[in-house]
Amino acid sequence: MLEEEIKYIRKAQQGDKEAFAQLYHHYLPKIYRFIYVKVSSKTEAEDLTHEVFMNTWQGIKSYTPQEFPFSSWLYRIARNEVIDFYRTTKKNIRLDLLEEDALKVPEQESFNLDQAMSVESVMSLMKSLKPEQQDVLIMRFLEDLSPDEVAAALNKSSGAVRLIQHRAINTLKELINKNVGSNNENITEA
Amino acid sequence: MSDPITKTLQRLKEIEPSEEFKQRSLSLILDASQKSSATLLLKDIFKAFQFSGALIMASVLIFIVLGGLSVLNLKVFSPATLAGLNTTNLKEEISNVDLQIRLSEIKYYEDSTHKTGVALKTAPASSDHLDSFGIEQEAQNLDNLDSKNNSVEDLLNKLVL
Repeated sequence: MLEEEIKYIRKAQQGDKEAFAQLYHHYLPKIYRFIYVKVSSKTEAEDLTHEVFMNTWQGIKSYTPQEFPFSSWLYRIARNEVIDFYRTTKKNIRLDLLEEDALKVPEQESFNLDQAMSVESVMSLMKSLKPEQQDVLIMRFLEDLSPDEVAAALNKSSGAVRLIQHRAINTLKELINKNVGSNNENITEA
Repeated sequence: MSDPITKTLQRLKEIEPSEEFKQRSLSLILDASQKSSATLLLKDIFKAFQFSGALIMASVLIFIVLGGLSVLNLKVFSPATLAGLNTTNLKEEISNVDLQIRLSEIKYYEDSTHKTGVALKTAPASSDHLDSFGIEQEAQNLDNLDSKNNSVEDLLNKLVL
């Protein structure tokens, strides 16, 4: 949490651009990461992040600090933006447009756990999780939000957040193991 | 296993937006005007009304559909109210038929009584057809007519031949 956050929020609510800029610089990387992990595209992540902060600036007068933390309010806006994004755009990947290299089996003896645990692999495997599981993992491990802050952002109890986190980790573990197994099978067949 | 996963997840913290994007986005945002409290309040009220309005519309629709179905069920589809099976309608129809038969019978008796009366009245005044003398006279007249016809035919034959 930003020091003197409440003061900046109050000032921003009165139209102070400098105060809003402070909040913006503090929260922008977090919100950008949250969106980037969910959409996996730099340009789309930038567009959506811009929309989130535009909505925040325009609607900051409606924020009441007593209800929940500012970070939770921001994540709530970001989450809604991502939901709207997936609702309005149908994401289809055309295999014929993929480059040949993208479909090649990696030339290596075996696909080990370290490779399966690479940032890119984990990011792509996270797509298989439920949206709320993704949200919890990102907020808890990328942004180090407390279960209470995550709960406020997702409109759930902190107990429910802990349960979602536990299930998400287990599912991700299973997906990584499956990924290691299937990649090793492909290498053997090749 | 969860430890390496969390470590990998924490490596995602390395993702950072570009400086160029940060500055461009901030300047665009700060150029935009903030919405007034009244506008935001109106927006919230509109949202609340939108939701409650949708609920009201849905319940009205359900009420109309269920009400309509029950009316159809009672008035149209119910076997108790079908015209062919409605006992009160059938009774009415039967009594109407009975009444019509009785009325036509009365009319027939009235007509036949009247005709018989007229026939009986006229019978004594024209009783020539029952008189044997009159009958013979009529027969003779017919014979005369035939003989006249024969003579005309003979004359015509002579003229032709």
